[in-house]
Amino acid sequence: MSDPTPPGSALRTLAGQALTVAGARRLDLVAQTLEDVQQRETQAFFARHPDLLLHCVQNHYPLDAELLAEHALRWDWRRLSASAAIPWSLDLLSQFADCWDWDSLSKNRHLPWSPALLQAFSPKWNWGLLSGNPALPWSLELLESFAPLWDWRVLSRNAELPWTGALITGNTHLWDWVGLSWNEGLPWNLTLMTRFAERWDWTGLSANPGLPLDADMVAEFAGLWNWSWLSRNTQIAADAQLLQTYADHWDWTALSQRRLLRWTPELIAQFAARWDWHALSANAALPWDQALLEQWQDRWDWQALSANTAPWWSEALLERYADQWDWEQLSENLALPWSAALVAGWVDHWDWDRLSWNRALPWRQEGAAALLQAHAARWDWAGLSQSETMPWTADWVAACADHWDWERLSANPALFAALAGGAAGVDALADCIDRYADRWNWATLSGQIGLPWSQTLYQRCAAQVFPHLVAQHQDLGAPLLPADTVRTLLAEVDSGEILPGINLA
Amino acid sequence: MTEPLAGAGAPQAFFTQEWAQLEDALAQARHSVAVRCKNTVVRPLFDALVQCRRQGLAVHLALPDTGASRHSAIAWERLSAIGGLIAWLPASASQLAYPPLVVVVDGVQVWTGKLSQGMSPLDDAAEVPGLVRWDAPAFAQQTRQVLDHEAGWMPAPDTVPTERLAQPASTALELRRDGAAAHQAWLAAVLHNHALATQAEIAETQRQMALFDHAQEQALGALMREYLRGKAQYLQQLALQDRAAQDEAHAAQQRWDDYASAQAAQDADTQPLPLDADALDQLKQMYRKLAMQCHPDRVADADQSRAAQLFQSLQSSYRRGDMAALYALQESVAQAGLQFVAPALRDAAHAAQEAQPEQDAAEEAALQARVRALRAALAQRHDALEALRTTPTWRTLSSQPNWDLWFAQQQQHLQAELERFALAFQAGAQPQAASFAP
Repeated sequence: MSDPTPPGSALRTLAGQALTVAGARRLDLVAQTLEDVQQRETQAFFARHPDLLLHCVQNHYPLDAELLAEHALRWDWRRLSASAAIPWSLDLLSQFADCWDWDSLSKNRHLPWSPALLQAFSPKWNWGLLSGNPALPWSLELLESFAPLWDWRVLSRNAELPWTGALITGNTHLWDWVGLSWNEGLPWNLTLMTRFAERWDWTGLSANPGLPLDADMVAEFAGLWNWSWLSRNTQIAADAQLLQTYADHWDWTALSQRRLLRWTPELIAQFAARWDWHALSANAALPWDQALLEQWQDRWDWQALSANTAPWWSEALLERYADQWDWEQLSENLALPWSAALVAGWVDHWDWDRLSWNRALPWRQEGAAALLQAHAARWDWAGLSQSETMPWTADWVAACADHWDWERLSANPALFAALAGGAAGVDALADCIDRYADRWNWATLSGQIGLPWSQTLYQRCAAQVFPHLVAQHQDLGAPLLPADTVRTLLAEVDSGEILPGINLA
Repeated sequence: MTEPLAGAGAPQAFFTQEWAQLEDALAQARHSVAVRCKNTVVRPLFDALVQCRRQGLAVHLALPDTGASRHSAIAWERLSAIGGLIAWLPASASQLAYPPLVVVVDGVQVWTGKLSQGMSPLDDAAEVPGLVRWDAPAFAQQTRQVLDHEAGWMPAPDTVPTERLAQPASTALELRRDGAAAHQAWLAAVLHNHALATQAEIAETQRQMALFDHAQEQALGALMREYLRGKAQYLQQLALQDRAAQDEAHAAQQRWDDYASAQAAQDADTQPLPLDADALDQLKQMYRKLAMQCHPDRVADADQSRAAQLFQSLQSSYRRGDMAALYALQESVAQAGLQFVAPALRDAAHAAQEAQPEQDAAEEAALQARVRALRAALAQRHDALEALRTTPTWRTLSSQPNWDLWFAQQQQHLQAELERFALAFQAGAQPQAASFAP
């Protein structure tokens, strides 16, 4: 057989290595053919849905200057200005300078940002928005070049800047010191903090996880910290010594909630008189065991204990202190050893409203369907309808169709992912959507990112769906269309050859 | 047979989701992290280094002192303010034939390569993203020595637990006073393993494509043939009435013929075997081992033909996922007694230690030539991998979690097109040829 591979095939160069020539050729031909078919279908699809075409093109198509100019009156220029798909360039920005929404452009992370671009449209940019745009090529030169134009209050909060001691020192009169104090991106050290000790907002510093907090730093500014915020700072590694030294300064409620302290039975005992035992009872990071529970039995707050998510729960533990637990808290606790038997065993103890919202319920275990049916009158169906852990199938939806909260069901991405991921795929999903067409909230459904939209699915829902909401997050193949095809389709919309379009400009 | 990479060992993996993997390795580091960047460091990596330093690790970062690097948006002082060491190398360091990124974690693990596309504004376009990881303490020590020497850092304290030193220290490359030959030898080892890892990735990409090809032929083959025939006939009918459609009709006929002949060749190609994760891992390991032993790039002229045959067998056995064939091939490779041309890096380093100045220069020149050849081979493989990964087939198979579902959808599309042809024939009224064009 002669080599039938056309020049330029990416596969051919490797055909002699691991993929056979015939295999590579087949793959090329099938891919080309399917792409042709897909493109033709996409063209036909958008011809049937011109309103969707306009939204998809505006949101997702790499519109060139020619297309922009041809339909200038049709476009929503504000939306275009936020586009990630347009092939942005200085020329394109110049050509339609009076059309763009410059606020949206100033926030856009996909422009080819450069000092030249900033300079070229200096009077048009919103410099406040630019000051917070992380996509700019931030450098000391850039800051200097446009110093009078930046919004320094916004810059002070921008962690993406190339922060140095010199940058801070050289512009002391321009910075917003409160913003700086909360900024994690600064090169925090003792020297910097000491130098501007009177300017910093010490509440911001105390809360700032960017600080290299150690015992020396805590000691250096002992009189300046906001101890309540410092006690909550996730970077502080407080050991027993540090706790003892500043025992009268710490916020012991905040410390009692901290998961990152090195919790030991000794540490708990050492400061037993200072801990907030309510907060401590809810802290899952403590070394929970029977001995600890019994040692401080008279101090624990059983309501907070019942909400504790430490992995120490067992049916025996529940049984042993059944009269002391707060069953409302237990009902929403994710760490219990949930099973159908556990739920059934304490039917009269649970708070069924809270139980219904519990994400850890054993919906994928055997007996789940019976559990659902047996207590149909007790469940809060709004909570169940938003569950991500239910074994969602068309049958499962049908079995309780009159119970579900359809508003919440419409907003549940797990439901749609499960239906589409089943053996019957998108067809099963479309059938289910069709079947309950009068129950869904179609606005919610149209904006549902978890719904695996396709041309087929859209076609089946076209009568109810909101095109502008779908097009916000789905391109439905529009970017694959050649520019000439988009031009033809738009011209047909204009001439009325295909369904009348809606001018959305 | 001489093993040229005693110090380096074979690469353990070739990642495609490399940043997540490296980020995870940095989060698990316990003692030290040393990083050498060819251009500038990317923000997520810098933040991870700051985090490592905050947790008390020794953090070393070396990068060229170019304007673009030093004056980028990275706040370098964040790291130095908390005790991390940053070494600004001469700007010419960015021109060196160096992997874009080298990371040594805890002195026992090395990562070399490039982070995913778009992670850095100064991406070296010639480099294909991908990191190779070595879990080879001896090689990690060599790498650390190379980095320390270049950046002028004090040698890192020996944090490697002795039990993790799988190879005796004597196999490690020794640095001479100027370190140049050892650096070249180290670079050759890195490039060699990158080339091998890239070759393995190409083979794996092609294995998946072969698997997809087979599944696609089963699901769509007959229908595709019918569709292409139907389309060719439809366009021929059109061309009778409209001469403008003749070219299109001819192209459709050509595609049908091409496909028919490519399909006829299918029987000669053995069906690939589906593999579970463990079997695939075993297959990959065996492939890497055999590729090191029989790749034609690595054998003497006299053995080229035999090596090419063995490597071709390796490729086709891997494509089929045929472990038994690989075991048989292992025997054949052992019996072939192939002679390698690659200089033994260990021997080169030892020789360099004892050599006279003129021999030093000759040794270094030989290693430089070897590095250039390896870079060329690596670039070729990178191009091949990039070419494969930009094919529509790869995009489809890697983005579709359920191939059967995707095939079923394509069947529906093809059926709908066939029905359209049938209707057009029945109606006798032909639509415009242009409306068929994609």
